[in-house]
Amino acid sequence: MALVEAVKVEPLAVLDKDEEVEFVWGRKRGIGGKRKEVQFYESFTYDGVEYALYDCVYMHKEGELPYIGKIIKIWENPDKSRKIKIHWFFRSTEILYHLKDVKVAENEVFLASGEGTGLANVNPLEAIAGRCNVICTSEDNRNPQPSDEEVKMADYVFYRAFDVGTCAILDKMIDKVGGLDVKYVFNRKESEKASHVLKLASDKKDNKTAVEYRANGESFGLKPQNHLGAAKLSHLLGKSDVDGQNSLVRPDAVQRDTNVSLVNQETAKEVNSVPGEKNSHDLGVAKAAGKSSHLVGRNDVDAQSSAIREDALHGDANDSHNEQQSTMKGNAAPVLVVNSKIATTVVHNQNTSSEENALYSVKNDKKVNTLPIELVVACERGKPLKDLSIWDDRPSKRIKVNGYVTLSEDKGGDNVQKSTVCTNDKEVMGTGATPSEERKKSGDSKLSGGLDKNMQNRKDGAALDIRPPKKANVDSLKVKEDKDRSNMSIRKPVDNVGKLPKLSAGISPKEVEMLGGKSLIITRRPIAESSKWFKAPPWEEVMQTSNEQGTLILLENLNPEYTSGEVEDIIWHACRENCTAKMVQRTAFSSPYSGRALVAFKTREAAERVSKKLTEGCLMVSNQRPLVAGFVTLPKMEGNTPTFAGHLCVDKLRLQSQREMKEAVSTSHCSQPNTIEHEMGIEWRLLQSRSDSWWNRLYKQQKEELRKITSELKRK
Amino acid sequence: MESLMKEYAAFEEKVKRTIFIDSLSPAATEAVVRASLDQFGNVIQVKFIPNYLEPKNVGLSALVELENADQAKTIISEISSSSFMICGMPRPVRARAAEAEMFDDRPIKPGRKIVCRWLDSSDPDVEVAKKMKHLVSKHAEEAKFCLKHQLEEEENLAKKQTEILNATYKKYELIDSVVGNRVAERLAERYRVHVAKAEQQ
Repeated sequence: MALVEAVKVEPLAVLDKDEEVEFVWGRKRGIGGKRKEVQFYESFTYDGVEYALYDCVYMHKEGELPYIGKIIKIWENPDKSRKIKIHWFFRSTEILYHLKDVKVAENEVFLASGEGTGLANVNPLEAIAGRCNVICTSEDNRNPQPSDEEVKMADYVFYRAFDVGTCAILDKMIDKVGGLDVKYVFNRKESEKASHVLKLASDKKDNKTAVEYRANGESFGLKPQNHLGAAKLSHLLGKSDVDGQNSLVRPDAVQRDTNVSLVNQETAKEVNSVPGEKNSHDLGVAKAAGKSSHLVGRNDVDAQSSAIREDALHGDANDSHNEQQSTMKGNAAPVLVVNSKIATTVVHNQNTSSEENALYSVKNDKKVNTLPIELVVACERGKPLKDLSIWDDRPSKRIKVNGYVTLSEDKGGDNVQKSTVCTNDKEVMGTGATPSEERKKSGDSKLSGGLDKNMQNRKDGAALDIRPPKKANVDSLKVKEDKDRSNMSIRKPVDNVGKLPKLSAGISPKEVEMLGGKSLIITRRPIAESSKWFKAPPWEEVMQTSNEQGTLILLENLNPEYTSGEVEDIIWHACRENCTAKMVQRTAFSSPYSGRALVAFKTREAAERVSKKLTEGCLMVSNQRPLVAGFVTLPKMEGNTPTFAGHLCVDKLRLQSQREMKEAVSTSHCSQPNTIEHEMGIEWRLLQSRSDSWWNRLYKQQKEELRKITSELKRK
Repeated sequence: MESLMKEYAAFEEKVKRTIFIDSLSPAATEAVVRASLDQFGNVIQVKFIPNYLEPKNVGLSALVELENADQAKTIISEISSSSFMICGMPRPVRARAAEAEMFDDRPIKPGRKIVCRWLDSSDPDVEVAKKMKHLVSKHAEEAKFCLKHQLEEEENLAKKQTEILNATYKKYELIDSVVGNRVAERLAERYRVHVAKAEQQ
């Protein structure tokens, strides 16, 4: 699949010296060559067919499908030989290897780009085998978009380029594609394309304007011809009726910028008259015409195409919006969803069973309808910085403590619950790593009195205990609502503190629930100062040191989707300990239900504390998963290369193959059916699928067991 | 929030075009894996999944990120339908579509709120929770056992195959030597059986 190499195409056999194929030069372009002996042209007629610069043509290739190329230079040498330079297009068959798995349309070709062989070649003009209609379907802004009909009628289409140097497919056109200015890559402006059609209709008039134009136009570069004069205006407007197909000549165009569009029409006619005729206009004129029409055409076309695009986009936006809205509705969480943020989940849940706690149902939400969740500004995750959460932590901690204080003075109610709460705080104070240490200490002294009381009251309180939790369920919904409305769940205690004064009067066990800090919302924990200053060492190191010191804990029964960061946050919020965690990545046989994480602590004490707490107490994550924690030591490595079953080699050849292995970069292959290894390979695959089925069955069974037990949970 | 969702969307897109390969020999390196999969498509990245807790002879597993999802699908179907062996034979590698939980650098799923609470001993769920913890530990043990069993089976198979391999090799050696020293030829003449002539060395 060699790239197209320098093409030396023999002149057509048909072209004998006797038979003269009709040939007529078109418009001249300029002189070139060392001794000014080369004449460049813009167009020519060959064998009755007219060709212009930047037209696409077929080129003869003996014995093969003709090549497709774009004429980028036309000239005649002093020895009367006529040459053309062709910029190639590649058929998909020609670059099959480099396409790999890229999809191509049947009539798609690729424009050559980059540098190197295969980009472009000089050929005798006689090698042309005919015109070729290649339409550029690139959606680039600069490309006049072809109509559907044009695309259908085209011989070939292209929108991608093939870099001959790097052998890569390029989707975007840069300013110069292989040295070819991008505007010649894209479809030519309507004015130029439609020129052939127009020519027929308005020949006489063309000549007239051509003459007029020439008179005026020679010295003008890019500027639109402003002094065309009213006389011409009527003339031209009359013509606009003729240009049925010229989409640029629209009434709006004319009105919008009369002068410029007038020029456009002018030049349209202008270009008409040029090819095939022997009018030799100045190169300057032609260029001006070409360029100004480019300008105008581009604007119009762009406006057109961009207008279309905007509509399309707009339409899309509408569609997606509607879609979202309807799915919202489908989930009984209508207008509120879009407006409020966290209230989304709340609203949703209000419509479902009252037992479902708003926050805890995030998980269920996922299954029912993923959209609202995505819309939901993820609570505190969305909150930017640790600073923010630190700031929020402080007032809440303070308030929590106060809350406990007031609580402990209450009679009755959830005494036992309070006691846990108090214990919790006490432990928090024990670690004393937080900035609010002092505050807690003061709280402590107040609490201790309360604790004793609670201990005594426990028995009394027991009877009352059953009632509050159930009630708390219903009311916690409202609680969460309040909280969410304030948009920051950490502020929950803030809100509720406002209610405290009322509490102290009566006994409202519901409020106790929300105050208790029983439910910890996991947010980004405040990062310890030290780690702000330097980067944490890589996990491997941390893990190894921790393993040696015996401070490595294995956490199980996490949601496998959690990330390491979230695990660290959980530990922080639940146990007020800093740690480094790493979620164990899922492999072929990891449990899909119980995620595991390795947690490394700095000190043995911290690790023990956490482990004890988690083992003796019950930390329920998302209300459904009690975490399981335990010390772990990593299995030792046996030597350098662990044994791996299944890679065999003949003993005698072992030495030899090892040497080979060292030298080879990689040895990999698909086994062939006529080898020993093929059968063996099949046996291995059999074993693999058997073991897959074991794991599947095991996990299915485990899932059942888990489900059964989870259903026994009272609070979901 | 937008950026988080975008990030997660980009991550999900990445997951779609990544494959998870396991049963890799410990001798396989990144270069090896890359070279062997390059024929199917453009390999962007190869990352091995570290194995901290499992026994060491389960083989390596890696996440291979490809250029697009189609290439990933092709590779997976190729490897599943034929024995593709990397770095040793005859044990072939396995490939499957990657899942988000396999990536260690995955972004947090936007919209996820984690809540946890301590259960006190009066909470009615305490018993259930304790049972759950127990169950989780049990499951972990079961998984360990299953893995052990799998490894044993693999060892057995490997042993069996080694025997077969050695036996076959011996047979080939025998044939080679017999043909080489022209004994086979002479015997063939004796028994009037046609046998290919040994090439002159």
